[in-house]
Amino acid sequence: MKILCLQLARLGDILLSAPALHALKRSNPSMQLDILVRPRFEGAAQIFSDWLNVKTLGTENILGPLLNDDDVQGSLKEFSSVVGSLRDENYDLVLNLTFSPLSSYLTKLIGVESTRGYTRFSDGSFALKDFISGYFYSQVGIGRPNRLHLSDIFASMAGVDLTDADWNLIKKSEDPEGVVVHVGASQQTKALTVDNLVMIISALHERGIKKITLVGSSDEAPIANQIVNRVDKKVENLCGRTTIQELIKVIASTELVIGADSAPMHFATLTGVPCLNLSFPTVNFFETGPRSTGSRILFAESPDQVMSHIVANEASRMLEGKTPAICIAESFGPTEHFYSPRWKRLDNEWSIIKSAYFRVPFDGQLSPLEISGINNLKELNELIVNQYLSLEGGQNNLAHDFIQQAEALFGVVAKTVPSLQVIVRWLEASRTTVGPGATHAIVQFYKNIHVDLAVILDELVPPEEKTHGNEKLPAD
Amino acid sequence: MAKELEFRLKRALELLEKAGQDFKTKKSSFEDSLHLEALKELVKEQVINENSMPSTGEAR
Repeated sequence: MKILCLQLARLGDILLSAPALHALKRSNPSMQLDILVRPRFEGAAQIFSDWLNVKTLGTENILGPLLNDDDVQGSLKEFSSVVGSLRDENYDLVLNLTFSPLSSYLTKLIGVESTRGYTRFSDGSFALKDFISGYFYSQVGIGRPNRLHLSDIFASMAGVDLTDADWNLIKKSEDPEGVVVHVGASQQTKALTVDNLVMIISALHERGIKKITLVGSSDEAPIANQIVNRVDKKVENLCGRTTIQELIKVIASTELVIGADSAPMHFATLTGVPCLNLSFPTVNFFETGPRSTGSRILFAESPDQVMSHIVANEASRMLEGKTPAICIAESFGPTEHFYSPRWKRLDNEWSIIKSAYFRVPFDGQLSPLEISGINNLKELNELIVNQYLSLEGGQNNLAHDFIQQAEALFGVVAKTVPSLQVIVRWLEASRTTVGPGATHAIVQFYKNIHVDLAVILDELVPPEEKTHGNEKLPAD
Repeated sequence: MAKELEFRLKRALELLEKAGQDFKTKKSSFEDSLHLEALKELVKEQVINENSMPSTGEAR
């Protein structure tokens, strides 16, 4: 058995893919499991080289002729050579965990019959061939209501169940000490301000936490230098001074990691070190938050609104083994979903997702506007199903126009009732599962999608409630 | 991202777009056109990557 995993995203994605890949290898220790990563993140993948073969996409070689000599053919030749060498491996499965257009082409070009993740149909059009790829395409991402962790999504793609053994991938120190503070984040919008970091570190000192270590990339070193100059007591500054291996050792020997959404949090999760994660609307903590047992998540609308005394208080409580004071989510272990009873944002949308995708009985509370919107979608959907039925029965020159216009109205309804965008995105993704083929087969596929949609909509608003949504809405 | 690299990546995309038109005229193979599309996406993702901050501990 030979499997190739494409993970061409960033460092954090490689770390979040590791448990699923470990479970895959655990299920069949004799398999050859390769991962293709960008050269920039090879070091992160090499952490797992005991059980994972690391390959790199030679971006520099591929793009060199094009960027240096305007040589399109040269770059194409290099790219074809890379694809050819992957094809020659004769993999049994290509597991694409990247979710990018490039990876979809690469998956197709490697030419393996069995693939999971984004790929291309035989005519080159974008293909979502499996359930979880469709789910990712339509519901995962910042500002979207998904509450499944990326590591669980990757595990579903790989077809494995994660156990604790798949998470404890980096050895933890038996005698951990102090607190590690990550001064940056993968994006500026996720990072804390220098003022805030200074106040948090000072507050930690005031609470008697003696050993505080700053970590971060070389680009974040100036931030760390400013902090060191402004805090009264001693802080160890390792920002920009550690390799990945050294950073892992630092994290594995600490009691707590504090920081925004970034690689140190993921390292901590794989080490079993708890994290205090400072989260903002630019991140979806459900998807990428730290899952080591005892981790907690604090939320603020923006980095400059983080209250240093709240962070220091929560950190102290974590170190003293006390219950949370104000966190919005906590982790009871990497194989458990976040416990977040106080988090209400996009609750209804998440209930719609659970109902539509996982056929869990709908447990949300719909407003009159939402009921009305769903009933509008039902009527449009019924019209579309009838058009497909007439197409199945023979010629109907108007059907195509009817369907197009009715589908455009789906978008109008979702614009008026934003929570129903979940449904419209479900429909868009479902249509992307249909590849080229004979007209009658495509008509049948599309009709079946809309028949499924009717079931989903009936689950949200049972047919007997239909009249409620047609009542006149209040003026306010 | 350095201005020069930004310029070169932009130029690379223009060259690939033009090559795409030439492919259509010459009726190149379907597989060649897929390679070209993939290369375009690689350049686009390179622009995004160059503009993102380095990750902690990563080798650049």
